[in-house]
Amino acid sequence: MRAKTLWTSSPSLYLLPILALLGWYLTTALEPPGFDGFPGVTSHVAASLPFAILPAAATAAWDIGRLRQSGLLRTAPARNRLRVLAQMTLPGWACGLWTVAVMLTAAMRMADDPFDSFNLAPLVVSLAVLSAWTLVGAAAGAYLPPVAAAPAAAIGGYVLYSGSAALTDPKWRHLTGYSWSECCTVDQQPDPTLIWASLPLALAFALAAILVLSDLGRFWTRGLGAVAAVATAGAIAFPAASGLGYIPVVARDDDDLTCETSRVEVCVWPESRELLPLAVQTADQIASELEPYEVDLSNGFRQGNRAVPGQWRFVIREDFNADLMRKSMISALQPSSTHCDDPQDRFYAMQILSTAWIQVVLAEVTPDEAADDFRLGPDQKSALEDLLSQPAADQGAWFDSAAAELAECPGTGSAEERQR
Amino acid sequence: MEFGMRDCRFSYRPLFREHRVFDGLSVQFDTGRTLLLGPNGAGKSTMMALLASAVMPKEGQVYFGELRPSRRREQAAFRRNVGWVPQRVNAMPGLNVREQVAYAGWLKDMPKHDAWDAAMPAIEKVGLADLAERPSKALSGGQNRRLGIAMGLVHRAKVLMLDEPSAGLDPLQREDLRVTLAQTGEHADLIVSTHDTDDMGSQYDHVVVLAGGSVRFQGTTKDFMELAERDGSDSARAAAAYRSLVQES
Repeated sequence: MRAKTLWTSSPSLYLLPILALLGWYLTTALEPPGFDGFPGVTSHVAASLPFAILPAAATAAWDIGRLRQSGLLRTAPARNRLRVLAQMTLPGWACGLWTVAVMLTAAMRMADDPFDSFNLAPLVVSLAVLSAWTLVGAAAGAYLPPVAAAPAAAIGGYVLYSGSAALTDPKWRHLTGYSWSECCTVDQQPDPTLIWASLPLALAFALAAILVLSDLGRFWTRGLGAVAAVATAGAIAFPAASGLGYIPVVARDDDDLTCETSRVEVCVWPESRELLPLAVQTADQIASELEPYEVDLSNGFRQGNRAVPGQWRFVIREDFNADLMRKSMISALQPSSTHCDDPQDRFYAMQILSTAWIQVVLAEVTPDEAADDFRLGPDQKSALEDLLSQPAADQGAWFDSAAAELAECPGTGSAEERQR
Repeated sequence: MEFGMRDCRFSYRPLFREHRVFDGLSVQFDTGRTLLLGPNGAGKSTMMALLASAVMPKEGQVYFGELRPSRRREQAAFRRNVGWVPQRVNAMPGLNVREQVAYAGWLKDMPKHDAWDAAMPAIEKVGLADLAERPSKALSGGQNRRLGIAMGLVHRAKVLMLDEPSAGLDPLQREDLRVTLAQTGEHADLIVSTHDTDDMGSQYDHVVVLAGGSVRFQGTTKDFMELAERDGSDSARAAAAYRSLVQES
């Protein structure tokens, strides 16, 4: 078929402007990515991927459906059947690719440094998922009337991909590829194992659809082949998915950090290198203010978007000034207890008291204001006052021991997992 | 070029119940224009589908010269040489008449530009030139038949089979179709199926009568007419000859 005929006869051409607007809106309407590198950008796209799958699968189903309706495939074409079907599937696939391209462009515009930490894996999986569902749509179109095939393919793809995110058990979202949409904070990388959890099924669905569409052998042998492909992929992907946590990421390589030491060591990721002097200056100031308390800052400060037990991780945004940098670093000194197994709320009480203390010492907050801000009960408030009445070195020693206890509390995840 | 089928067995299996259509059927078509006659349910459409390689026999061979569609490597070449217009041709939503005819040519392995160029002459031949830009969905039943024929003509097959092309046409359209088929038969061997002896005109060289899954008659039109009494019009004699063959069973 001539390219002009192919495009003008397919609904995909008329969908392109609508999909461009929708793709742009969906990408920019979501929360800005927490990570400006390429994994963050592609992960942002993966979150909106169902909106690309939907038109791609539906258009492919519609186009193959109208070919089926015409009966032309039954008139013994001389051309290879798969080539004929591939040509008719092209507009649907292009429709999905177009939507992804628009979403990618929008996400890259939102990111400061879209090519940092370049990692193609999330994009490869997203494109595999998109292609698989386009082919599944085409297979539906080959056996169902277009009015049934198009909505079935669209809803099927949408529900399986985005619906898996609604399930409590994370392995389903790992299998469908949705988990790529949750990557990554600045100090994380996608877990390479996620490739083995999400790519096999996408490839198997694509292969199964091709088998169903082809004319190799009898229908039932092709059907069995399709089932075998999906089963084999499941056997590979299921164990990989089962071994992954809720958000399948690994810690970014520390070798990428840029560090500078004055009074304390401060480390930032390459994309924030420009703010390192300000961070060092702020850390020096904090260190000098904490000097009378002899608080242990030997671990230094490290840029990161998540609290990691035993580390002082601070957030950086490109619009940070001295004041915001100071607030961010003070926040880094507030230990977390969310990882602790804490039925008696003992660790939580320790965390609240440490946080209130740091605020009083560094953020010019009065004990009463701290009690209000952190909703301290009467006992906790008097504990704070007791702590503040002790010699500075004792206060610092208490803070260090509380921070150490919170870092090593019994609780969720191995030490390695806590570092992710 | 020899064209036909040898010792073909074929059956349908609706819901696991086997319905045998042909049990060792052999037929070889002579060059020229052949009319395939047979009552409804005789297996004419199935025979054409087999000859076109749209379905494959359980046993036996379909052939065009040395080409066998059952051999995968020869299938495309076979199909390029053998055209088939099934009884029902549907419009492809979104395409106009010329685009649909050109697409049919492309499906028969014509380069897309050649198919596009060949579409218009084929459309003109069936008298649809004025409707070439009209959506194929908007054609009437008779126009649709002619569209089907144009789709069969476009790739210039060496053998063209038309399955009941006159069904549903009014007398004037039938006359037009006769003229079209007469012209078509000048470039390709033609096999036209019908259950109506009124379609039989002087333009056919051979007649094959199919009934109950077997060939009851195969010969020249003259031999076929000889089966009936010499008195009466040609159409009455054809009907009488046909009746005598079909009622033999």
